[in-house]
This record gives sequence, structure tokens and C-alpha cells, in this order.
Amino acid sequence: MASYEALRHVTIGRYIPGDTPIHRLDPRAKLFAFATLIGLVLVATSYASSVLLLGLVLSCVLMAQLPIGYLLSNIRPALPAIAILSLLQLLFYRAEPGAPLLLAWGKLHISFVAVRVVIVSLIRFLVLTFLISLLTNTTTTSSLTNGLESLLRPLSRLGLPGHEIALVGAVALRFVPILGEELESIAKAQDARSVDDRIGGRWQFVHNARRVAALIVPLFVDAYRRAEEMILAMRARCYHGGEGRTHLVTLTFSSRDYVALGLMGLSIILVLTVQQLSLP
Amino acid sequence: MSDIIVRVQGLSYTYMAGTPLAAMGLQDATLTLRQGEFAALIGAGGSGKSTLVSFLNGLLRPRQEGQVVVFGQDTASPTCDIISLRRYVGLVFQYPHHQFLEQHVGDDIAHGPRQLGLSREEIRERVRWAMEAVGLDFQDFVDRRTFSLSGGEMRRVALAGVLAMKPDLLVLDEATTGLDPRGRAQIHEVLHRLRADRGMTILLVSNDMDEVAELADRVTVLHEGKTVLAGPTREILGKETGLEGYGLAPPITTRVLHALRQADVPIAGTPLTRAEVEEAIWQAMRP
Repeated sequence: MASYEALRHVTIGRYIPGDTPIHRLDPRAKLFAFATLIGLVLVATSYASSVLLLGLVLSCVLMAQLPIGYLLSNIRPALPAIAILSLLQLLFYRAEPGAPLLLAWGKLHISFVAVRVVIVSLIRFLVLTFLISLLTNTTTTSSLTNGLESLLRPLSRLGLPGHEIALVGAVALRFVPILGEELESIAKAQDARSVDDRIGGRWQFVHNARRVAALIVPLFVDAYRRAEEMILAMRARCYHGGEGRTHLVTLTFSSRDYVALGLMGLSIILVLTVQQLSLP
Repeated sequence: MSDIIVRVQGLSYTYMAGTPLAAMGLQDATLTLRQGEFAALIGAGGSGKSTLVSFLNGLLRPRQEGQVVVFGQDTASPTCDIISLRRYVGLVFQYPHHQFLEQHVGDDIAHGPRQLGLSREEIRERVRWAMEAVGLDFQDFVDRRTFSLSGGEMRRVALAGVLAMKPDLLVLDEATTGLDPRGRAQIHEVLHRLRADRGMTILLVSNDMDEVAELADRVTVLHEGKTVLAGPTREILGKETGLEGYGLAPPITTRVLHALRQADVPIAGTPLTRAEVEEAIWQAMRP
């Protein structure tokens, strides 16, 4: 049976209400920790350091009481692509000459380094998915926007429109579930009219491409209409950008946030040390 | 009974089941439709009307609880031929442009018949008939682009696209919401004729009690995913009280009669449609 829940496996960008230490953190602390952890993902290239990083992020996920199975369902649609990429990397990764080999069979050489690169990449992918879900599932769009705007404020002296950038990001995130629901409604309405059982197979590329086009056109028409309505609504409320705007909720850093940032610093040191020690 | 064409019993459905975002869509919904009747499904926003309707042509199929039998086919069964079911059950949705599949009006209306493998002449005849049925001039509209039409025209093209399949059961999911009074009256006129001429069974999903009072023989009321009332329109909409708990209000005719009775005007019987009420008021005013 066809499923019309287009966003069933998209967990990114949807706030899941909760009252955990992670939910209560100041959005600026979360954004800062998020950026740092992403940086660490790029640095950690050894087994030990990447597993440590995965462990750290997983403990945050557990603390936020997010269901891990649900976050993993994000990856399911990407699995075939990941499998192909891993295979290619395994086969064609160029290790330095003389690197110890796991397998040598004719022209096929698979080195231990290649295996490490593949496994570490998989772990990185997991960590990144968890991180993005962790940030967006525990933070409401409005507090995310406020946090981002507040972090970008120092840059406004350089002429960077921090408020506007934050707003664009927030609107994009907010529209994901709306467009998903719309896509669902369109797919249903169109399927209700499709009564030919000879078509619709996986290999009927022309038919399937036409179907995608038929889905996309109304989706875009609706998206533009929504955007126009939103512009009108913003103008009607005298929206004029970030200049001189005040907030109903002012962000305040509490002791909890300092503790979180302290832990963050500790984990940076920990991961970097493990990385240094574990590299040959 | 053989004249029952749709039987939905104890149907429950959860959206996004198995995720933290799971939301109740239906909980113990029941619906029965008889051959040739004009039925209405009413309920406040979010009561599950659209979800229930999606089960009638197999867009959704019962997964956990409940049974849906349409034209003798149990849609939960893996052997159920959903594709053929869609030929007999036509669904018209609230947003007409969601169901357009072609760029031009004529092509779009012909989309269904083309899939049936009919001859060119037959397809053309069906398009002509469907456009005539909804009051669109064939010559004038056949080559227009679907997305250049006005709201009311889009509705009628969407309806024509479904009618061209000549369904036995026509389901209109809020298909007149947001139309101007003239556009609405035109659609009502079309529905009247389809039923009179072709004996089509019609299920109208609506929020507009005046419309339902005017058109439907029987009403089913959904509230928070559950069927709470079902019966003849006169019984359900002819009473001043009983609906407010479900976020609904009786039609204007019932409210006018109630006000008249409060003012001691003797109104006989339970008139419901505008014509009946007009007649009843004349009778009561006659010295």
C-alpha cells in the first residue's frame, strides 16, 4: 500500500515537545554546541575518537528522551546511496604505498586504511544526523531564530543582516512540514484519478517523470501563493526588518547553560586528546 | 441488504503511527451508504471527515481496527482490486488544482477515460458530456490551461474530470467550500441532475448545514474521529439543539422556525428545506 505520509521518515526540523535538560537549554548554547560538535566530526578521523564522539552525541539524545529508532528512520531512504558510496570508497581509496593490506586479490587491493575511512564515514554520518535532529527536535523554531539572531548580532556592525538571515532560516524550516502535508494532499487527489493498472511500475521512467512533474507544479503554485500571503501578512503587521525590534522573550544564559558549555569544552579536549593518542 | 454499497464499521486510524508525532485520525468511525441516496457527512474541522473519505476508494486501507467494504470488496484484503474500485468511486477534493494531471482542460478531463482504453470518439463524447454536466462550454474551455482558470471554473473542471469516469458513487470533500453563491448553486444543480438522471449515489462532505439541509436525505455526524449521530436529515438538522456539542449549529431554516415558534407562531410539522419552510410560514400566517 502506498503511504501518503511524505514526512514520515523526516525527523529533521520538527519540534518534539518535551521537558528535558536539553529542551531547556538556551538556544544560543545549543547552537554553539552544535557548531562545535560539527567541527569535531570533521576532526575525528580515528576509530576511537569518532566512537567517543558518537557516544557523546548519543548520551545527549538519550538525555533529550528522543526515540533513537525514530531518528534512525531518517537514514532509511538514504541507505542505498550510502551503501554504494561505501563500496566505492572501499574499492578505490588510495592508501599510501606499503600500507598494510586487508585483502589483495589480483588487481583488487583493500587496505586497513580504506576500511577505517569507510567505517569512520558511516559513524560521521550517524553523528551528523543525530546532531541535526537533536538541535531541531528539541528547540522550537522561534527560539532557534531568536538564538541565531542573537549570535549573529555582533556581525551586524559589519553590515551582515543577522535578523533577516535568521528569519529566512526559520521560514524555510517552518515550511517543510507544511509543504509535506500539501504534497500528501496532492498525491492523494491525483492517485484517486489514476485507474490504469498497466502503468506505474518502477521501470516506467517516462510515466514516473510525468507523475513527478504533475506533483511539483501544484506544489510550487501553492508555495508561491503561501509566500505571497505571508508577505502580505507581514506588511499588514508593519514588519520592517530587525532594526529596533524588541522581543517578548529575552534570552538569558542560566547556570545550566554555563555548565553545558563547560561540558562542551571538556568533550572537545577529550575528543582531541583521544584523536591524538589513537592516530598511528 | 444488497442495496448497501458502502459499509464502514469501527474504523480507527492513526496518522504517523509509531513516531512521536502520531495523531489520532479516526476512532471507531461508522458509515453506511445505500444505492442511489444523497448522503452527507458533517463534522467540525479536524473531526476526521477527509480521513474517512480517503478510505472509500482505497487511498487509505484499514491497518489495525475496523472494516471497510465498498461495492462488496473488503479494502483491507490484499486481493482487493483497488484500481478497479477507483473507477466506481469518484472523489472530488477541496483544492481542485491538486487533482489536475494535465495542462489543458480537455486533456485533464479526458485523463480518466483515456486510461479506460476507450476510442477517441467515446473519450471526446465523455469530455463533452462531463463539461456540459458541470456547465462549462466545450468550445470555450476545452483548450484553456487548467492553472489559468478562476476558482469556480477550477472546481467545475475538477468535478468534470471525476464525472468523466461515470462513477457509481461520487464523493465531494468540501467541494463547494469557498465558492460564491452562484458557483455553489451551479454545483448543487449539477448534483441534483446527476442523481435524477443517472441515479448516482452521492456523499457530500460539508461544513455548510444549509447546503446539507437542502440536498441530503441522510446525515452522518463525525466528532473527534467517531461517528456520533446518523439518521435522516430531518431528524438531525430539524432540531434546534443536539449539535452544538460537536462544534456544529443547525441550519438557518431550523433556527428561523425555532425563533418563530418562540414567538408563538404555530408552525406545523418539521419543514427543513427553504421551500418547505417558506410554505409552512405561509400556512401559519394565513388567517
